[in-house]
Amino acid sequence: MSAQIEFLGPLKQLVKSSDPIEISSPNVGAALTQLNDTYPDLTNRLLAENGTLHSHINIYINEVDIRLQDDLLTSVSSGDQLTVISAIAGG
Amino acid sequence: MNQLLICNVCGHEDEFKPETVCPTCFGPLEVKYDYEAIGLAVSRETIAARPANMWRYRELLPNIGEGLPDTPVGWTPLIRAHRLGEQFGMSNLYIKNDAVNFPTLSFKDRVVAVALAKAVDFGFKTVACASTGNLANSVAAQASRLGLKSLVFIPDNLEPQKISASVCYDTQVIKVSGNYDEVNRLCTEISYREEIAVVNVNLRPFYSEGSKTVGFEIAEQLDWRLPDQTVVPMAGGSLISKIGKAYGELQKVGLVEVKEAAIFGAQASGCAPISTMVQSGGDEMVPVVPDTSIKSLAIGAPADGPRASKVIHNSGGWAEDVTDEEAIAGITLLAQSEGIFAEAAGGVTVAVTKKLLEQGRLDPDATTVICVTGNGLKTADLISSQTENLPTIEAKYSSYRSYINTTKEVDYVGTN
Repeated sequence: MSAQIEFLGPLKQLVKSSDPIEISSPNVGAALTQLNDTYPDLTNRLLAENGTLHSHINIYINEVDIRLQDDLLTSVSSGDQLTVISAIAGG
Repeated sequence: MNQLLICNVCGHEDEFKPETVCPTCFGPLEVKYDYEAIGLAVSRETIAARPANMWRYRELLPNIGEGLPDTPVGWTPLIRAHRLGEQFGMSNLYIKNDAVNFPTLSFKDRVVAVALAKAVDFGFKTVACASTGNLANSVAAQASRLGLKSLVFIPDNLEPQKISASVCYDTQVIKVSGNYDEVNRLCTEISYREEIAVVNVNLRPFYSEGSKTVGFEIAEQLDWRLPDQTVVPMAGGSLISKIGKAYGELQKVGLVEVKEAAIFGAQASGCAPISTMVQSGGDEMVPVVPDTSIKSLAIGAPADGPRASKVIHNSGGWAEDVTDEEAIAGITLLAQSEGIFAEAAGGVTVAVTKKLLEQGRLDPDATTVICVTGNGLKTADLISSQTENLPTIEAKYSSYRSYINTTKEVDYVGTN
C-alpha cells in the first residue's frame, strides 16, 4: 500500500484534483518533487526560494505538522496520509 | 466605499468573497480600503456623534451589506491605572478593559460581530469556529441572537467555565481530542469540505478586521492620541497585528497625528513562538507544542506570528514571555490594584509589562496601555486555590472581632 497526499481548498488547483493522490517517496520533500514531474509549478508555488516550505502552507502527515517533525525530510511510509493545506492558525 | 480583498504577499485583488487564501500565491488575503476617500469622509466629530460601539469606525471596517448590526459591541472602558502605575513606577498607565465587552466579556466579541455580519451577507446559515474558549463563547452567543446555527470546536481540556459559557446558548459545542492547533487544522478542513462559515478560517480577512477597533478606541479615548507604548497578549498574533494596523490607518486618514507608537507582545513561556521570533530577530517562526496552563494563548503554530513580529519590530517594540506562575501573580496584582479581574491572558500581559520595565524596555513616564482581553471569571480555576483556606466564623460579633484582629491589613480596629 502506498501513501496518499491530498490538497485542500484553493491548493487543489495545483494538482487539478479533489481526490487523494498516491505517492511513493522516502520523505515529504521527495514526494513534492515527484509530484512536480506531473504537475509542473507545484514546488515553485509551495516552496520558498531557499527550498523551505512557504510559511503560509502547512503539510500534515497523519495529522501531525511536518514542522514539528523533520520538516520536508519527514519520512513517508506506506499507508501514511498527507494533507497540504493553507496555514490559518489563530482564534 | 469601495473595498476589495488584496493578497498580502503578491498583491492580487479580488471582490469580497468567503475566502481567506489568495488563489494565485496562497498567501493571506486582507481587506483593502480607500484611505484617501475615508480621510475625506470622516472626522473626529462625525465619529464622536455616533453610538458608543465598535461600528462608529465603520468606514475602516469591512462593508456590511444588510445594514449595521445592532449588537452593542465594543467601546469598552479605558481606565487610568493609578495604583498599578504606582506599583510599577509608571505615571501614565492605562488599562483597555475588554473583560467587560458585550456580549461575552472578551475582545472576541469584536471580531465575531464583523464575521457574523459578513456570514449573513454571504448567505451562510451555519457558522463555526476553532476556539480556545472566548471565541466559542462569542460565536455561540452572537449566532444565537442572529438565529444562525453554530458549531464551536474546542480542545477537550478547556477550562470548565469557558465550556459552560458556550453550552448555555443555542449552539453545538464539540470537544476535540488534541490541542488548539489540531482543532484549527480540523476546522480548516471542514471549511473546505462544507458550506459552513468558519469565522476564523474562511471569513478570516473580515473577522480579523474587528480587532482594529481596540486600537481605534484607545486612540479616541486618549483624546485622539496614540499611546507611546501598548502591551498586547499574543496567541495567534492577529490582535497585535491589527492594533498596529489600526494605529497606522488612523494616521493615514488624518484622525491622529503621525507619531511613534511602540507595540509590545506578551506570551506565556510555555508557548512563546512569536516572542522567541522577536527576540531572535529571525525571519522564520518555529512552531512549538504548547506546554502552558494559559490555554487562551496556547497556539503553537500561529500563522500571524511573522506578521506580529514585523509589527513589533517596525514599531520599535519588543516581546517577552512569562511563566504560568508569573501570569497568575499578574491576575492577582491587577485585581488587587485596579479592581479588574482579568483572565489568564491579562495576567500574562501585566506580568510582561513588569518584566519589560525591569529590562528597561518600557519608558515609565510614557503613556502606556495594557490590553486586557478577557474576563477573569473564564479562568477562575487558576486562582481557585486562594479559596481553599478561607476562614469561617460564627454569626456573632465577637467571632468577627476575634477574627478581624488577627488579619493583616485593616484600616480600622476599634470598638463602638
